[in-house]
Parts: sequence; structure tokens; C-alpha cells
Amino acid sequence: MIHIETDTDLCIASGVCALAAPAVFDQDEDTGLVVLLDADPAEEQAGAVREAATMCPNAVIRLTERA
Amino acid sequence: MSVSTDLSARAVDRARGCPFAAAAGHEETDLNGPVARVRTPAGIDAWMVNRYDDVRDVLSDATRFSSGAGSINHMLPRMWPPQPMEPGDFNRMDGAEHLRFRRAFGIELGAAKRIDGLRPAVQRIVDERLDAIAGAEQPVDLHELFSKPVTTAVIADLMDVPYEDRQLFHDSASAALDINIDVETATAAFDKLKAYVRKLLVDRRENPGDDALSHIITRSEAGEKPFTDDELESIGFALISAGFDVTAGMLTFIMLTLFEFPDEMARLVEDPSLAPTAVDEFVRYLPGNVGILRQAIVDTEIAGVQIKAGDYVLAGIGAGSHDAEVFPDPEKLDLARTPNSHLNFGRGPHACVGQQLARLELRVALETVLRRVPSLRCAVPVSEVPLREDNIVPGPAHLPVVFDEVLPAQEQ
Repeated sequence: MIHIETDTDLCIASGVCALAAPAVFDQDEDTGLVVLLDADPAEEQAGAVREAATMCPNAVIRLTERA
Repeated sequence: MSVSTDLSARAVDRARGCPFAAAAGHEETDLNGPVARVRTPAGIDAWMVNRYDDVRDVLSDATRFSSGAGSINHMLPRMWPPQPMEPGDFNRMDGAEHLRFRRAFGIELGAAKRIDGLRPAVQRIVDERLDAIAGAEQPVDLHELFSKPVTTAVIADLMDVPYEDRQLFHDSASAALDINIDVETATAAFDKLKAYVRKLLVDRRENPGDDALSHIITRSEAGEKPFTDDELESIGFALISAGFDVTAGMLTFIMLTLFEFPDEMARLVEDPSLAPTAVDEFVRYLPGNVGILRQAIVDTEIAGVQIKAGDYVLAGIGAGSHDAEVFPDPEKLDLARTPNSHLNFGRGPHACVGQQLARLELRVALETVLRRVPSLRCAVPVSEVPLREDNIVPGPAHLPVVFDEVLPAQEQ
């Protein structure tokens, strides 16, 4: 299982995460900043979540693997 | 759908020349090594960083590497010695000061829902431009009559400004990226566009619409620290002039590259669902950048090389995107490449704000051209297609093409 944390202070509203994993990440309508929809997503989201974390330009998304 | 060509004459190879030389006193430096000491076209010496992880670190860590020198000024002799920063020159800002601007752009150009919403407009614009070239005299210059009109019309749509005003945008964008233009000519082009943006600001304050600039003004005025008129001028200027020229160049370069790699073109025609990975692979693969300039603000170290505070550092995003440690077979064009976390849209807080819009435009244009103009081919041997020489972004200057017919657009 993946656990997700986001650091909104770093977020630049690039939208990369919401595009890569729309079931897990959204963006605030007014600010564009990341909104974490699901901090402990189902296994089938893992690939998209890892891609979002890798592609995020400003390292906003931190993942921890849980057994 | 293509003409065969001598591999060595491919534009991608012709355009790949390194614009940097070894710096004086560092003649032994390895330009392809982890860290090279280079002299840039603007005449400054810099540490060129080439490995993926190091490039990402340089661009991501603003506590060690400042953007204050301007991201492309190492290519532009006219920008030296450095001038004081103008108000709203967010490209040269760091930290919270920069974030205030970056987020204002982010919500307009990065929000996934906003990009989805733009898709029908982009499709309509691409279809209109293909309709327009259908009856044009052949050969058609695909760069002037398709790539530039498409990307310009998308910006005009986003900003709700008349497409007829495009010469003003084109002149300013060309001047910004022209290596050899003199300061007076560049300044004259910029001043004309600034005056245009000033008028636009007055209009959008009085009559806010559903366009990017109106949204930014409205949101800013509801916030804690509204943008000043000078700052809004910079924002409007960037929105109008920073996006379409580089995207148009990339679109034309993609079409030329498809002519040069017939197997990859056939693969894409066969399976159009590859378009999204294809776009990122073209952006990774094609030589579209000259590094991003940063300045060390503390003594530090990269790959064992001591960097002193004040030293210039070049983040080699093109080299990093060809790092074999990260990209298997990096010199191969693979339109299905996954994963593909290349660096060519930049990284860190200054990463390209228009990257989602660029992806959308390139993808829709690519899918639509292949579907509607299957007979498209280069009108001259591809080795004779001229490349831009005065622009810091390499690519074809023109792309003469011929075709049998343009098929009808799909119903929306």
C-alpha cells in the first residue's frame, strides 16, 4: 500500500498530478493547488500515483510504502 | 508517406550541435561529462551539468541555485552586463516572490479541468487551419500556414484577443529568442506589445470576460496582495508572447521528424492512441533547448566539482533527458516510451507553466494531421529543409509539404 502526503506550500499548480492520477489528486478551483482526494489509494492506482509523484515539478508529493 | 533519406542528413542530427565551447583554461573539459566548464554564446563561463539527477537538483533547489540571472540569458549577448530586474519579471524571481506569480499562471494554464475545457477549441482551430491549407497553392509551408497559425490562434482564444493582431505577438516573440538582434530593435518590438497589453488591461478591468487575463485580474483583486499594473503588464506580455512560438517550432519539428522516421510514423498511423506518449517522446528526443541558466548563491558541490557562490550553472535538460541511467536506449526515438519523466519542460518552481497546454496542442494537431492528410509528404529532400539559425530554439525554419487531399473534419 502507498501512503501519500502533499506539501501545499511547495505547490505551483502545474496540474501534472491531477492529469496523471485524477482519482487521487484534484486541484482547488480558486487556487489550482493540489487537493489530495485519497491519501491511501487502492493498489490499482499505484502506477498513476508514482507517475504523478515523479512528474510533479516541485516535489510536492511524498510517498511512503506500507506493508 | 515519406521520402527516404541519408541518416546523417536528418534534421535532428543537423540541429544537435552544441552551442558551447570549453572555457578558457579548461580546454580539457569533457562537454558531455557530468560537469563541464563552458563558455556560452553570450560570453560568460558556466558549469554545464549533464546528468539527470544533478540537472533535477539544480532546477529544484532554489536555496542553492537562483534564477536571478534569467533562464536563457547565457545565449543572448545583448543581455550582458545584467540589467536591474523590471517589476514583475517573475522569470528572474525565487521563492515566495516567484510563487505569487507562478500560481496565478498555474490555475489558468495548468488546471487539468481547464485544459480539458480547451480541447474543443483547439480541435476547432486545428481543423480550420487544415481547411485553409486544403485549397492553398502547393507546396505549402507547414510552419507558416499551419504550426504558427494554430498555436497563435490558441493563445488568441485563451486571451480573447483578435487573431488579426498576431503580427505584434510574432514580432515580440521572435525578438525575445533571437540571438543576433540588436537591443534597440528588440526593445521596439517589446514596447509595442507592452503598449498593447496596457490597453488590454484597462479594457479587462472595465469589462471582465471569460479569458485568462480577466480571470487573473479578478482573482488577484480578491487576494491579499493584488498585482500592480506593472506586474499585470508582465503577466499579460508573457501570456501573449511566451507560448506559441516555441510550440509552433516543436510542431513543425515533429512533422519533419515523422518524415525522417517512416517506421515510427507508420506506427502512429496504425495506432493513434500512441499520440500522448509520442508527444512527450518528441519533446524528450528533439534538440529543443540550450540549457537553463542558474547562479549558485552558496558554495556547493555537484558530482564532486566545487561550485562557488556567484558561479553560473547551466542545467543541461537536453543532456539529462538522454541520460542512459534513466532512459533505456536514449538515442532511440520510441513513440511508446513509458515511463518518460524527461526534463525538457524544466523542473522545479520554474517548470514550463504552459506544458499541459503545449501537450494538448501538439497531441490534437498530430492526431488530426495524420487522420485528415494521410498523403502528406515533404516537398523537398528532408536534408534540404532549412533550419533556424538566429533563434535559440533549434528547428526547421520552413517545412514545404505536398498532399493529394485534405479529408473532412470529424463531427464534434
